[in-house]
Amino acid sequence: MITVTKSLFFDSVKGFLCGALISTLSVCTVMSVSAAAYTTGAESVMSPPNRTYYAYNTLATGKEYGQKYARGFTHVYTNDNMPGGYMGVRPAVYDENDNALMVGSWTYSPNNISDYSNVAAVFSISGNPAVYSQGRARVWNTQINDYWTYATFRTPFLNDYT
Amino acid sequence: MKKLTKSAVMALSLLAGFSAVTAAAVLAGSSAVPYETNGQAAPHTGRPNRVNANGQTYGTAGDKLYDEDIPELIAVIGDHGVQGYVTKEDYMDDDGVTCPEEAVAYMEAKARGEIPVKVWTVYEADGITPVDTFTVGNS
Repeated sequence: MITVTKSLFFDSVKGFLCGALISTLSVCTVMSVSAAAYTTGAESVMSPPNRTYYAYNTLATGKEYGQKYARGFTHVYTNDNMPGGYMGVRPAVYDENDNALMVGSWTYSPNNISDYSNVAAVFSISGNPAVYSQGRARVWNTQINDYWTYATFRTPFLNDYT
Repeated sequence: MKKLTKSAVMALSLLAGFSAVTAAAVLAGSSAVPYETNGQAAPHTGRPNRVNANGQTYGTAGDKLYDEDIPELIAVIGDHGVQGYVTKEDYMDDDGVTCPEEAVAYMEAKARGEIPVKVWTVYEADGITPVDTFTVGNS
């Protein structure tokens, strides 16, 4: 026969409540960052002499710590690892009227990689505007020792920030 | 025979000159044609640009794939939520990076915090009246 003392009971309640609190905090932390929606734009082909590169944009929208956000990425890749600086991207996010909301700075690939991307992010969005991601990419043309710069194909619109 | 030789020389010279100029035109410049994965050149797209009283074109850039279609004044929402236009010169600026070595040095300087944040002036459609600023960055 098990005797449940008063202190044992209260200890068990305290333990239960602590566990519940920890669990709640963990769940809230996980749920505070979410990508409500994600989309990818069409791929474009960039062909300076002797090499082919590909570029595309992606877009994620959602809510992070109570703030609505849109993150637009511009990606560029090729089939082989390239020396540093051979690929550059400049991502941007636009609204449904094609106004630029955020334009990222140009950034360039580090040494010995074949795939590079960077992000332009908009936070504290109000309402539920439809947005898209579209950027620019630069790739090194070894034949003429100059960059070729391309606009990349835009993503579809997203307006889900839940 | 002499006439034929002279004609042949002229024709070859003409062809060589034409080829050289064409090759230079194709290879020169840093703005290139985007291609779809089916091998077709991307179509010219986007809203038509308008012209202000000063003769400058103004409109949108995100919906356009060719640099020649991008207007002189580009629609943005400024840092304080004001809609206006930034110059094409600002929008197309590439930080003066002209080769991979400079790109690597630029990224190293950026990591050290030595590259200043760019802030563009946002104008009304007249291209003269400032109404806001537009901070360039990744977030």
